[in-house]
Formats: sequence, C-alpha cells, structure tokens
Amino acid sequence: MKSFNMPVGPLHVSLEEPMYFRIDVEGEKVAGLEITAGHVHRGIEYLTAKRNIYQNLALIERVCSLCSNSHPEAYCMALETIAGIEVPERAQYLRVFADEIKRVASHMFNVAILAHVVGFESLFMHVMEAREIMQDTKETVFGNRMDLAANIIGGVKYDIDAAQSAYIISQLDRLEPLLLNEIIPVYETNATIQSRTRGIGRITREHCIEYGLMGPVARGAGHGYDVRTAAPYAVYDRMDVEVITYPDGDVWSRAMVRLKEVAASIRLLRQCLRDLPDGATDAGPLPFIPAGEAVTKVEAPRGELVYYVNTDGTDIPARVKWRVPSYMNWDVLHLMMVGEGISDIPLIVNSIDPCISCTER
Amino acid sequence: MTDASTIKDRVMSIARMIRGEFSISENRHGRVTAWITLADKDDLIATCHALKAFDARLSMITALADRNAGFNLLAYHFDIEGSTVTVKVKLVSGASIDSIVPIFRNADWHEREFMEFYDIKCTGRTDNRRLFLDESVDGRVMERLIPLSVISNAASTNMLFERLITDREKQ
Repeated sequence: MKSFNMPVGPLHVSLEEPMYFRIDVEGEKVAGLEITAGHVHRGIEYLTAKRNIYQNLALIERVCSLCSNSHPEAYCMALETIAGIEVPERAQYLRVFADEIKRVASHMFNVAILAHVVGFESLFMHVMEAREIMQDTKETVFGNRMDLAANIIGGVKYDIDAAQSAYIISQLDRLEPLLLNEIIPVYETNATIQSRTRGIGRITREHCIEYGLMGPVARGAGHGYDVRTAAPYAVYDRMDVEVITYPDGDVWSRAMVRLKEVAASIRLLRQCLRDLPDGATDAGPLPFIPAGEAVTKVEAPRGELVYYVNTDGTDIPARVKWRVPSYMNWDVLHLMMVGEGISDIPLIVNSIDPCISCTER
Repeated sequence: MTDASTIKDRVMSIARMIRGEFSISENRHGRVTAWITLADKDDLIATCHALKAFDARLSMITALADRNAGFNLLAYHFDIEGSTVTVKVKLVSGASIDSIVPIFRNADWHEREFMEFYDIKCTGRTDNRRLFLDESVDGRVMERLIPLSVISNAASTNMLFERLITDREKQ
C-alpha cells in the first residue's frame, strides 16, 4: 500500500480558522498526524498585563466569540473571590441566563456545520435559521448577537424586565418545537447523517480521563464531568442541570450530546426566568481588588474553562492565565483520526468543536 | 461525589508528605481550594504521583514572571471532582523543572508553552518545539517589556496623528 504525507490546512478544515495538520496516509486511511498551531497567536495574556483590571474585562470577552460570555464570567469570579465580593442573587441568575443562551447558540452552530460538512445543506440552513431565533433574542436583550458584555465585577450590567421576559419565552416557544420535533429527529434517524457519523472518530471514557478531555467531547464518550454540577458556581446548585452523556464516543454521539444540551439549556433559560428573584444586579461600581490569587472554573460551551488571576493590589493584574477546553481536545485528534478515511477528517475535526481563537489566545 | 472532608484529608496527607507551605479552604458549595508551595522543586514529581493516586486531573499550568523576586513561579492547577489543588514551585531564572508528562499526558502543551514564553527549561521531554510563535521571534516574551505600540503595530496611529497635524497646518 502506498504511503504519503498530506498537508491539511491551515485553512479550509471545516471552519475558516487556521490550524495546520500534516497527515500521514496509507492508501485512503489516516496513519498518523502532526498538529501545528501558531498561525494567529494574539498574545492576549500578555496584553492583560498592559491594561487595568476593569479594561481587561472588555479585552477578555474578545478571546473568543462563541464562548465570549464564559471568559469574562470566570475572570470576574476570580476577582470576586480575591476581593470577597458577594454577587447579588439576581445577578447570579442573570449570569446563568447569559451562560445558557450562549450555549444554545454555540452548540447549534457546531451541529449545523456538521450537516454542511456531510453535504446536507438543507439541514445546515434549517439549523442555522432556527439558531437565528436565539441570535435575535441575544440582540434584543443584550444589544449584541455575540459579545454580550453581560458581566461586570460583582454582578451583571443587564437586566430583564417583565416585557423582555415575555418576549424571551415567546422566542423559546418558537425554537423548542423546531429543535425537538424536527432537528433532533433528523440527526437521530437520517441515513446520510448516520452513515457519515456513527462509528467515526471513536474514543473511550478511559481516553477522556487519560487526555483530560472535557465538555461534550468527553460526555459523548460517557465521561459525565460538567463544571455546573461538579463545581457549581452562580446558582447552578439550584438549577435542574442535566448532565447528558452518550456511550459510544463517536462523531454522532458528540453531536447528539450538543443537541440534547440545547434542549436542556432551553429548560434552564425558562427556569431562570421563572425563578429570577428581585434585587440588585451588581455589588456596586468599580470595586477595589486587593492583592491575592484565585482559580475559578466555569462550563463553557466546549467544556471546562479555567482562570487563574493574581493581583498585587494595583490596578494592573500581576497575571491572568486561562486554559480553554479546546486546549486538550486537539491532542485527542491523534486517537480519533488514525484508521479513519481522509474524507472523514473535516467531520472529526468539527466534532471536537475546535476553538482556534481560544487556543491561539 | 466524594465529600469535601475526604478531599481535605487527601490533600492534607499530601501536604504532610512534602516540605513547604499549605493552606486550604472550602466554599459554600462544599468544594475545596488548596494551595501547596513546595520548598524543593524536586518534590514536584512525588507530589504529582500522590495527586494522581487520588484521581486528580491536571487542569492547567501557569508560569509567573520573575518580577524582581529572584525567581519564576510555576503553578500546577489540579482538579479532584470539582475541588481545586494548586501546587506552586519556585524556580531561579534559567532553572529547569522535571516534565510531568509521564504522569499527566495533558501537561505536554502547557510545558511547551511555558518553555516558549518564559526563561524556564523542562527536562525529560522529547518534543521541545515552540507551540505558538515563530522561531524568528525572540523567546521569553512574557518576561520582556514590549511596548504596547510595538505589539499593536501602531502604524495606523502614526498615520492618524500625521494627518491631523497636516490638516491643522492647512487651516
């Protein structure tokens, strides 16, 4: 059998973000790969040391667009831990709301791209059109479709009144039946989706532990770690969080976890609106942050996002460091791809929902 | 889910095993946050083995620059069922630390990253290539002062000011 090396990327692998793969191929099967990052490294961690604590909030929200709410949330949580700031209860519910609405939009984007890679363009359009309901909702509530600018140190800077709440519920009432009655059944039963995604790019629960995998990638292989239940933050301890797992660890399972998590997030959004207490939405303007350090973690759409913040009592943080879930997920491509066909490479890459903006911070 | 007191006992058993500083606290959700600062960097591997025995997962490695303290700091953050244990190691500038990849596979990119951005070497590794920046860029960027105008390539800003000055002179 003839062996050769095949360059894939830096562009055109599922998404128009750059990551370079050198694939060793035997016949039409992948025999090995080498991943090269560094095409768009932006030095954002360095830049955090050039801005004050409050300016960094705007910078950090721009690490990534799909999980843009998770970054400032974890950053604020770290500063609140250092300063001993109690976030008002209403603000904590509003943080959960922002988290979950971003999860809906992020997951729907990923499963839509799966349909696009498979060549099922009508499904791609249908999922993206349904996703627009959430995008419109975000634009109406937050004034923006991607970077919500919801978090501030000590709370949030948005609120939901009765009229907005009614509008959001009407939007959820539009999206939920589309998802449950049309979109999920197609992914569950359609022969094209099944034949291209089931049994492809398989990993096991043991691999997840060995590689430190997180999020839907791990939950799609039966490893049910979710920060919202393992290390609850905000008011997740009061929410009915469903940790959704699938046992098979293939491309299809990862997609199904995301789809079922969209449905679960819609239920959490309804619960937030139902239980939202009265009260303040923040703990006061521009709090002083003393010297200290803290580690915080949140469940971003792609899994566990960890922040370490070190302050020295000045306005400029001594160190802000974060690790995104994609960081570990790249490594497991070595397992997922070997033995699979060349035509499955974009599907497998998309199935880890890779975030290059996050990786190349 | 293991309760907080069991995780506390486990972490304290590690703290008793090594020389260094130790603190521990528990949040309102019953999750533990522990900080261990090793007196001797050579205790890192034994500490990692002990954490691994308790099913700890490596979450992240943070390097902190030498800010006139005489040493760099490496902070290894671990997760045990939602609780967080951070193990800190002090390193004099240019010193090396043992790789923990044989214990925690996912340490690989973290170690490549701190070797690239800081003046810290890591021994026992096979792949020491840079992760992010091209070889033509000077190393240890996180320890050097790089003016913001250089980072952001302030050409456009200069152009703006030059145009403003030119416009003002015309008036």
